[in-house]
Parts: sequence; structure tokens; C-alpha cells
Amino acid sequence: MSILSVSNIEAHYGDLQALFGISLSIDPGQVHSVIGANGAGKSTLLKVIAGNLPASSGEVTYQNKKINNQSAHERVKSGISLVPEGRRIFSSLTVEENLKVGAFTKRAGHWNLKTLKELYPLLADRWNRIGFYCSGGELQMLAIGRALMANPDLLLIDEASLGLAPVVVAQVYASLSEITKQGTAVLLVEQDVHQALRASSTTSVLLEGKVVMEGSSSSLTIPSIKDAYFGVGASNGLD
Amino acid sequence: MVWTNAIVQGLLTGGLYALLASGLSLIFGVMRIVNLAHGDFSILAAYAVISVAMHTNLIGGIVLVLPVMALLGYFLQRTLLNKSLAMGVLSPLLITFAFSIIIQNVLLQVYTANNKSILTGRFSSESIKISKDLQIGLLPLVTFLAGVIVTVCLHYFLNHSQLGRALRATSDDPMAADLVGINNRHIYGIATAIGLFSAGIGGVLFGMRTQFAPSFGPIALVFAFEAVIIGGLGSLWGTLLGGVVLGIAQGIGSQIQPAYGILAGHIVFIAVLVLRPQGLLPKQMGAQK
Repeated sequence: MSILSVSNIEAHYGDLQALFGISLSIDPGQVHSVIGANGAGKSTLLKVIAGNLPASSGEVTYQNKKINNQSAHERVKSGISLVPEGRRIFSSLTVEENLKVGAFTKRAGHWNLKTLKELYPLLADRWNRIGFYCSGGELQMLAIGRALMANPDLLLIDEASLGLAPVVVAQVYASLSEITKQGTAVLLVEQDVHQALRASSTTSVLLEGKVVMEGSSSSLTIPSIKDAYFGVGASNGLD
Repeated sequence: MVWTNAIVQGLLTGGLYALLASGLSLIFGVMRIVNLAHGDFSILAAYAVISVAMHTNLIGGIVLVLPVMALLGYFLQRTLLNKSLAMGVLSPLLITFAFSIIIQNVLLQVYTANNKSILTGRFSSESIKISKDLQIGLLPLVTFLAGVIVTVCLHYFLNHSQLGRALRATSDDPMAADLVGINNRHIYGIATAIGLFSAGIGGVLFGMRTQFAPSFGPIALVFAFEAVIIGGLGSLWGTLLGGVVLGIAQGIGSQIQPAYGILAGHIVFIAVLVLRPQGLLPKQMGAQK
């Protein structure tokens, strides 16, 4: 039984339509990745699920309840946490304070200051550093850590690898299995197609606000994704 | 010795300015709202204490009025101000300006334009003798201590409580705060509640120290503003320091010529604005947007 399902979601920024009838569903403990070119609507989809942007039509169903009308902070209380694009770490708060604020909803679960120190030892070394002075990798780990402090059942991660050194990307992805081990489902938006396919069990490919391809990550081949990614037939002319 | 006296009295008065300013600073820091009615809320609290004290006593008046000020702040934020926040920077400014006009006129209607004062009996004239030429009034001393205590409490609240951290987080990035489960509208209500609570303390002590009239709100606001700017925006300890510097400047000015007191405060304020626009104790690092 799926923990989250969205059906026929449409979303607009003002007059501009960004999503055209997106549907997908995720099971507990599963990693689902969403890939696609810039402007395909990946981040928009996460915003709609997290409650940052209202869906103009369609349904967001979480744990068998329609949550379209819930605000973002109410969804955090019911177990949906978003690691936003650009990390959005509270820059005047220390690493520790950022994590503590993450636990604002007081949801019970595996994740607390101690287990997060074990998950990301780097953060433990930077415990009293102010967010403003953290490096990109520290910020990404902190952003995921802050979201985990709410002990979500569904974790949405927007562009985990963007702008990070490969060694840091590897660390961030290595932590994913620890997270899903707790039964948390992860919806991953990713620019790096290889990374996304490796980390997830199922994948959706978005193009111009529509799902153009979906399936188990192991069944999708790179040439076929390339076609879907840029529009049909693109791979014929390329390498 | 007269100069020592002027400086000490000014320093004690600075505590009052810090009290008036800390709420203003907090409201601005969290929501970027300049509360133009801040001084008027202080004066409102002073009048309210007089009215309630007539039926009970002074302590009863203070204990009742201050929480009501906090509730009023929460209510106004959740109803009018939160709505206005979505409409750009001008709307909250206009609304607080409207509060200012409404409060002044209601006070004028109810209490007339005659000067009043909160009577404290012997408390207002008691003093502690430090040396032959230097005496510290008990009331000014209590005022100063109240300023320090409010600053310490706010500091502790903002840095060591979950609600305080949530306030700072919302100030940094309201959208990200929403994403960790913080209801911004509630947090804004809390900030204004604390703001008006401290404005109330300032107003009551102000009303014990001097006479006041319904039109005194704006001048209290000007002193609070100057204290905030001299100390540095967004810095709690800076606001306390700003109040003290302003008080000392006024004390020294008054010593030169009684009419120069307030002028000297303004001159120091302008000097800080020109020479050190970030204030004496600015908020560290570049978190401000």
C-alpha cells in the first residue's frame, strides 16, 4: 500500500502552468527518483507535495488522506519533510540549533541529535558553527539532518548532489540506505541521472511538466531515458 | 562630581529607553515590521494601569495590564498585521500608523489631554546615597534593572528555548521555517505579544517617572528608535547599550543646559548614523537579508 500518491496534479506559477497532470505513488521505505531537464517541473512537484505551492487541480493523498488543503507546517506534523532546493539553512543559527529547530514538531522516532551525529560525523565536528559559515557539503548534510529531526515518514529531497564535490555526494547517498532502513520513503529529485538510477528502486522521467517515462530504475536504459529526457528521438542524432 | 551625577542619571534613564526599544527591535527583527504605534502602546499601558489601579492597587494594575498587552499584541498580529504582511512593506507601516492615531484619540477621549502620572507614593522619591554628591533614586534604579532583566530574559528565551529558536529561524527564512513545521503566523503573533508586553513595562515605568499625556507616544517611539539604531539593528545587547548611550547623552546635555538634553541625544544618534551606520554592537555575520 502506498504512503503517498499524487494523481493528475496540475500546478501554476501565476499564469504559467508548470505541471500538466502528474501521477505517481511511493511505498513505505522505498526510494523513488524523479529526473528530468531544467524546468521539467521536478522541484515544482516536490513543492506541491510539501505544501509550498497549491495544486490547481488533482489530488495529493498521503496515508490514505487527501491533504491538498494542508499547509506545509501541518504536513510536517503528519510526517512529510522537504529538503528544499538551495538547502535554506537558518544562517544565524548554529548547526546544533538548526537541528533542534528541525525537531519543532516533536514527532517521535529514530532520529535525534545523537543518531544524527552518528549518521553525519562531519556535522558533529561543526556542531557550534553558524549556518552562514558552513560549506556546501555541510549545508546539504545539515539540511537532510534538519528534515530527519522531524522523523518523517516521507522525505522529499531536492537536488541532493547539486554543487557538491563527488566525495560528499557519495557520503550523502550512502546515508540514504540508513534513512530508508527506518521505514522512511524517499522521493528524490536529481539532475545526475546515473546517481538517481543507482539510488532508487523506481524512477519517473519528467519533460515539460509531464511524466514521459516511468518504471523500475533497473529496467530503464540510458538511451531510452535520453529520448524521454529531451523529447523523442534525441538520442538518434547524439553519440 | 556634577558630571558623574549626570552620567549616572543618564545611564539609569537608558534602561527605560532600552525597555521601550527592545520590543520594537524584536518585532522588526522577526517580521521586518516597523511598529509606528510602539510608543502609543506604551502610553496605553500606562493609562490602563492607572485605571485598573483605581479599583485594585498598583501591583494589581501592573499584573493585570501587562498580560492583556501581550494578548492584544497576539490578537492584532493574527488578525490585521499578518494579513497586511502579505501586501508588501507599506501596508504594515500604514496599519501601525493607524493604530497610533486611534490609540492617541481614544486616550484623548477617555482621559482628556491633561497630564497624568502613575502614583507610587514614597517609592518615587526614595533614594540611595552613594556619596555626598551622588544619590541614586530607587525608581530610576528599578527602571534600569528592569531594562537589564528584560534584555537578559529575552536573550535567554531567544537562544535557549525551542520557541525562541523558532522565532530566530523564522526571522532568517520564513519559508524554510514553514518546512520544519513552524506556523509563521503563530510565531509572528508571539513576537508581537512579547513586543507589546515589554512596551507595556516601559510605559508603566515611564508613567511612574514622569507625567504623560495621550500625545506622548510618538516621542517615546523616537527615543526607542534612536536606541535601536545607536545599538545596532537586530542586536538585543546593542539595544540596551543604545538606550544607555542615549540616556547618558541626554544627561550630559541637560547638565550643560537643561534645554539641551533631548537635543544632545539626537546629535549622538545622528553622529552614530553617519560614523557607524551599523550601530555600536551590530548583529554578527551576514544573516540579514
